[in-house]
Amino acid sequence: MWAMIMRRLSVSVISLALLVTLVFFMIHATPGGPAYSILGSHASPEAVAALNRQMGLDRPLLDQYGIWWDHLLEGRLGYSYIQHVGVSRLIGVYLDRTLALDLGALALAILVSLVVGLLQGYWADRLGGRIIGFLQIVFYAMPVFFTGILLIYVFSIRLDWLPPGGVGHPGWVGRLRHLTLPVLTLALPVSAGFSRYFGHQAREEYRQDYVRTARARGLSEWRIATRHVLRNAVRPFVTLVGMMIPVLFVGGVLTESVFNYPGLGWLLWRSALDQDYPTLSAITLLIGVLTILGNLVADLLNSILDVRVRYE
Amino acid sequence: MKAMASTPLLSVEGLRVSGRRDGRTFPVIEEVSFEIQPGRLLALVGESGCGKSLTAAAILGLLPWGFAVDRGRIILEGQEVLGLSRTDWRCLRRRLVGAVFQNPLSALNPSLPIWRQVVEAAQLSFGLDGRAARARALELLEIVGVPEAESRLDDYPHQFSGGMRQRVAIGLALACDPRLLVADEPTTSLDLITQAEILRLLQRLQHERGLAILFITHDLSLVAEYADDVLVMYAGRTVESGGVRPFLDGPLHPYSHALLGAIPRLEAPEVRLTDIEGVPPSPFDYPPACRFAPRCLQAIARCRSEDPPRVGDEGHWAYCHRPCGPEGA
Repeated sequence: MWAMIMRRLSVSVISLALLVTLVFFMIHATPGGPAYSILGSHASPEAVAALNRQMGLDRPLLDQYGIWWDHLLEGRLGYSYIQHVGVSRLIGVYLDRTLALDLGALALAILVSLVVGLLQGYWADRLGGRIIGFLQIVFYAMPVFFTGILLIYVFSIRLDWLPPGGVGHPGWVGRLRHLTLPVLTLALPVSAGFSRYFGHQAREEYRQDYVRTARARGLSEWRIATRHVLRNAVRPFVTLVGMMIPVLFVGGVLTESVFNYPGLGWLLWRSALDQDYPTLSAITLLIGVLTILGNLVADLLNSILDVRVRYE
Repeated sequence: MKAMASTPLLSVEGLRVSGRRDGRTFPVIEEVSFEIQPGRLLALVGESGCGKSLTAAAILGLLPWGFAVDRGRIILEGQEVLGLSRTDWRCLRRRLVGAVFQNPLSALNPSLPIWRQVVEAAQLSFGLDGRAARARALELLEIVGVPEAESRLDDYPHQFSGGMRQRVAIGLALACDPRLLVADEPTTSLDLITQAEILRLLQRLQHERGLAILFITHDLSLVAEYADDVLVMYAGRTVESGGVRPFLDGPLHPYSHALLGAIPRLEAPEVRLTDIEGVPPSPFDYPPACRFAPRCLQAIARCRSEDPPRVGDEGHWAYCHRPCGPEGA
């Protein structure tokens, strides 16, 4: 198993290097530049050139690339042009807000899709299964900004139960209240996707003979679902969840902007607009690392869950 | 004493199972009646699609979605079960009825060690704790003849051969010391040697433990060797029933006669095998009166217009207008 992890990690390092290289050249290829964001679009060419020289952006692109790598290997992510703070510190501040949102939505989506998927598998060709299938498509297709605004309208404006955005004051209750609507908004399409996939797995498992054997033994449907079907249907689902972690993060960008929730997604969106190269590259790198870790953890979990792999 | 022995363990009376198609309800099996005494093996015989597995499914409470028993009675150890609540019926079945199916390769959950699956029902019925459950699992695996059972308790299904898995599946069916075992083509997917081993195991359980077995098969050659009683089904109805000797010596129904003619016999190699022309009718399109009439070589006009009467005696009967004589028709 360790050999597998090491092999996977070394491949991951190569893909990460390719990813950041690609991103580096792509953001430098876009017209404009951070100087315009800092000085405003009517700045004189001389002022822009001076600022670019000061920031080292007048040097050949390959040099810049080399310098950026040197710094990266020393563990330095650079300074944000716009916010004048070290990027690692900046990310540290925004990261735990995003983690609260994304992990909350992920946990909710997993819980919902396990329950809904098992029901869908159990009902398979019956009306209940078809209704669930229809709702999955509706919620999957619903854009985050639409659901977000709908939820704000109902729960903040009409009912006045929950705040429409922001992070709230420190303290559990305030943070949770501010998190509720963004988490729901983000979890809804993710639950729809997850449960559709898991429901399909559960349905396949319900067709297996061992379910009939379990029923013939007089086990209750609850026990069959939780002890037998779930155990077998959950394995491919784990892989999917691992793969979806970066997608969840990207969905979080929209959610964070709808709810004006200052997390990493919001920061990514801002720094793309401002062409804040160091921040943008660092966040890209982080997403890449998350993707690779998500897949690796999913594969490890899978090999632990699969008795056949474990015994060979 | 004699009266006790003749109390059937399972008695099915006038069973009808209906299925729905295009919003209409069709009886798929009808007027199915039989009894099984403790320690007897009843072979339920017929071509595929004749309703034999559906009959078993009705007894096991495993009817597929859309099918329901809408007439008749199922009496298990003197108790009418169709009136019970779902949970009561399930718990009664868990204690009294075991089941074995055709494909042992997929009948066990691939991701649970076998001992957990083997004793699961017993744990639920008798509330065994962990150690007692493991001991019971060992006992069951030894009963069904898994070699070195102790070292195999924690193995997973994929570590067993097909024949061994079928033994484990039988062990699983015996977890609560059932009185009745429903075996739906339990040897069809096994090779001949394994098939014989499994059948001998079933026979041993039948004789040693007084287990009643409902054995469902399309293979009449097994009937001669292992069955005590035979019930032949065709197109959702019982056509003939009786003790195995009178049945084999002189089948009454032309359908049974034809089925027996389709078995190759070593002692009479020069006799041509007969087969039955045509295919069995679909449950949604049963012919009127005698359902075998369109394929029957003996059929006369009355067979297509009047329901066939019951002929024969209490120990061996058939529904037929033109039953075969002792020498065959």
